[in-house]
Amino acid sequence: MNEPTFDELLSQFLDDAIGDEDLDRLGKMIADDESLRQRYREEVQMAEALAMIAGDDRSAERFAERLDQRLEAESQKFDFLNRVLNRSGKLAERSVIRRWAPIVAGALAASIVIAFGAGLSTGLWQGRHSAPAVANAAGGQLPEPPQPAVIPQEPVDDSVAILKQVVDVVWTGTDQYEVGDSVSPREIIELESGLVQLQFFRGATLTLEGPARLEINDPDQVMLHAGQAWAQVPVPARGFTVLTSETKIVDLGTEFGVSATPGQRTEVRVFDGLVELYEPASKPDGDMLHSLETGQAVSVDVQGRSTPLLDQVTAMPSELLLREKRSQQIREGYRRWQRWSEEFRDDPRLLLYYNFESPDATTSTLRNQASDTRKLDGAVVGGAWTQGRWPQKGALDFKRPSDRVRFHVAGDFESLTLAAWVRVDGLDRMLSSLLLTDQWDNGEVHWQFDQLGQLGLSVGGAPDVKWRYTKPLVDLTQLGQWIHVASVFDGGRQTVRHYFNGQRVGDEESLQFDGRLRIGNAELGNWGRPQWQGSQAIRNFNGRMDEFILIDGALQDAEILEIYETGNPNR
Amino acid sequence: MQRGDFTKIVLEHQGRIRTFIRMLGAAPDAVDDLAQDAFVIAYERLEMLEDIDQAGPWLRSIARNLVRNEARKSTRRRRVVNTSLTDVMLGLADEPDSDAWTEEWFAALKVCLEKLPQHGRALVDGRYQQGQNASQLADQTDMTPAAVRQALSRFRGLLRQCVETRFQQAGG
Repeated sequence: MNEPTFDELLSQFLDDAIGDEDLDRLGKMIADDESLRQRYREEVQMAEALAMIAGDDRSAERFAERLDQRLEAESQKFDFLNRVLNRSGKLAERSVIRRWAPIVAGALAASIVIAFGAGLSTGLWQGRHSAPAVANAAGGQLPEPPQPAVIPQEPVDDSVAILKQVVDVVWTGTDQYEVGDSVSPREIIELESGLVQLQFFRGATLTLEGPARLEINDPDQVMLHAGQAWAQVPVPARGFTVLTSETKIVDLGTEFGVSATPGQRTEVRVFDGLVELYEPASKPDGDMLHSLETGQAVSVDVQGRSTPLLDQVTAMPSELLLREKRSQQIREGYRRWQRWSEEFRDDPRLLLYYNFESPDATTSTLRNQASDTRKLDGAVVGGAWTQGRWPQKGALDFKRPSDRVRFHVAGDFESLTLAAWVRVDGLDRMLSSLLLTDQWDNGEVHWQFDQLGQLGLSVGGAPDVKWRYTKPLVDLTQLGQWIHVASVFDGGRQTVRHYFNGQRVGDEESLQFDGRLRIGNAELGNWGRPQWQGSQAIRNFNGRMDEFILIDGALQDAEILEIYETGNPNR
Repeated sequence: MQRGDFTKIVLEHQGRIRTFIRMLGAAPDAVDDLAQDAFVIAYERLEMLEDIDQAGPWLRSIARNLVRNEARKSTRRRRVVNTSLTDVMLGLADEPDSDAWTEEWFAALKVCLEKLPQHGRALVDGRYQQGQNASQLADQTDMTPAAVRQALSRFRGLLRQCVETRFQQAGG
């Protein structure tokens, strides 16, 4: 068989498909011939350049973002050294340590985004993401910012209502919503069946029954293209308006129902109070066509002709319907989770399974459901027992810097999976703990949110501490909602994977640590006995947790999805 | 050197250093980690850099040492693909910074990419945007993996010629 040519070897090398023997050959050819060396350089350079402008993961922004995180993590190490040197009085070493004045959060990534946004490397392929600035800085600042300071924009929320309840909904539109989602003007809510209740910030409540199509116009007005809706309008929300193609219904503090059949008619029923009907296109000071009082109902056709309806309706059907359906959904959802939970606790891979089903509200022990022994029970310090994902389910509320669950897990592991149902109520700290080991020694795992709502995992002692963060998962609009987060360190592959509500977030990223993982003494929702100050030592979580799972092994996508789906309170 | 110069250094050199580390024989998935290591060391020792114009050679010397240390590690832990290739590349003298990685160079590369024939663009996208290797690309075409690799090599050559031509025309 002929020996491979230089070109073949080089193209195999660039395709990451070359064996050791052929690499030896390639190395020898390069060593012996300057022209081949030049070819090698040119080809590698072009291949790398293409990878950097084509792949998100290799972009300049992503590189800068990760470097930001690294520098921040390194600065933490040096904070610790500083304290040690302070105590030991070794002043000579200070100059070395001072060099680790922590870099300002995201300065690097932001500068790269600015520079490259100007056309240096990105924008060739569609669908790129801009690197979010990393919010892990230890608080210092570069003395001379080399670029114009990037002032983060104040968050703006243009939403006008939230989804208060979603029951048995089959969505037909492009958007699918969950309880707690906010909606903004120009959004369209479209459902084939089921019930959706919207709570407007001005005070009105609108319940929609599918099949229906509703468009949000502004904080006080919606357009009902089709379907049935019921509105409850308290005094502060007077003037709330429902438009249909046949009429405009202005509510003056009342309860009414409206049914829109496109191209045929609109029916309006007043259950309590007073509503006024106008031409659909009339101005605010236009002529009123009808005024309807409690018990009255009218049908308006496409020509605008109105006919009184004789059926006398005195109660809103939707509330009762919603309550019944929602109660049924809650019961079924909780039972579904209970059945799964009973089976799941027998999974031999489980190290810890805290389901936060407290026998009483004063207990200070969190039972590990995965074992009959009490060795892995958690000690609840502070915190308040409260309601979890379902009204019947328990959870622990973490609020103060003292609130935490302490536990100890012995042994070492090749891979670990961490998963939790949490309700984030605020990202008050630079870093918010989900699980932090007391120390940061070789193989110890840290799992936390940063202030941008990015979920991060790292392993102590990995060569040059490397954090792996997601994009921001929790923002202002998601505070107070139950979410499921999971992260996997896969020791076999030396990678980290993150999950949000059952779905993989971002790419599987390399984290080169080939030792064994350890937990030892650790805490949920806080950080016990941090060894150094000034490195965001206060990391208490602000929110609730009602399930925590620690597994010896790396769960796959389908298994994480199952945990989410069986535990989703909105199903 | 002031700490404030560090961002400028990263901006200017991150692409070059990552490529340099790959040329030294680092494993593809370890290149960016090693480059990170190099910049962390650079940040720590920034005061040692007296002239910002010397940042390139200085960063390359840091990268060389890092890759050399990698090559000495046991097979399981090291992040270089093959020590003999790495030894050859480490044994070569340093070279001046190439014209590549400037704003103009990237702008020219983008224009040239747009000019690639459709088939070439599909292969380049598959390899570098979607991260598919030649075997995977071969499955989607009627080519063999070897033919895919050959074609990719040809298109990289075309792109290089195109970029050089544009530079000459621009007097750059």
